[in-house]
Amino acid sequence: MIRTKAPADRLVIKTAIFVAIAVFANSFGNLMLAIGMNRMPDFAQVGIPGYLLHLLANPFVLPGALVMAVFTLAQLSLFSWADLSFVVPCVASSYVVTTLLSEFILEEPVHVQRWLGVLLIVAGVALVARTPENTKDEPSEVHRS
Amino acid sequence: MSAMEWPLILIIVFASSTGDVLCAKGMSQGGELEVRLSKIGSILCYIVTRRMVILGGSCYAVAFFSMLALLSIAPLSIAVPATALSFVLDTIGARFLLHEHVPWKRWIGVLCVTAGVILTVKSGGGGAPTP
Repeated sequence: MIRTKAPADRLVIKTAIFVAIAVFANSFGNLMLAIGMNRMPDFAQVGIPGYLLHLLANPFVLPGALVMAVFTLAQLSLFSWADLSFVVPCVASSYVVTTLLSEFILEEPVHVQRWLGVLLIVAGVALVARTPENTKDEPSEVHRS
Repeated sequence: MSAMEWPLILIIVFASSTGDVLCAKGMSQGGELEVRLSKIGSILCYIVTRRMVILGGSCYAVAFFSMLALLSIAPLSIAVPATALSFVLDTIGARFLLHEHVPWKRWIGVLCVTAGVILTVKSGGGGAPTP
């Protein structure tokens, strides 16, 4: 089905929403998996069945995996209309969110050097975000499933 | 650094970049995806039946398990910055395999992000994104 070319604004907003979903899902998914895996028993002590049981009963591991699935879906959707060289650095802003989460939720001390890294990532993403999200063709075809 | 670290880092960087390029190729072939929550089932079917995406997903799996192996022999502060090299390889793949026109702003941006990730993780403190 062909849709007549909508204003470019539509795609810019859609891209921003999906980058935000991917970044937050990635950061929170990793945080949940990290918290969940820290609470797991020693593999050698409980054996494979016991470990699997703990994994299923863990309140962070399965929800964390589900959030990571949301991240994957958002990133694959972005690939369908935006450049790979646009999506990859933009989604890397999740390193910034993860650093903020480490500082304020996990209360890990964050060194000066790390904040410098965060600033570099923000500057890099700001530069990439100022380029058009698609440099290959006019995205005119909309897939309706 | 043990003898197994560099081969593992190379496998992770190549597998994750190959996965990205294949998934991007597969997803862009079908045109812009219109995502609706009510259609989530058919969107999932659409995604998992695309050959390039299946191949790309297999590459992601190789990268994931190699990362687990790497984390068992190397500290996080070495493992994650080393894999940030895949951002650069992704951009090279996007330019030469997917024929994207990568503007100079994007090249500088990618290099800034890569340097930033290396600084962020090398300085320690944990909490870095890991698989």
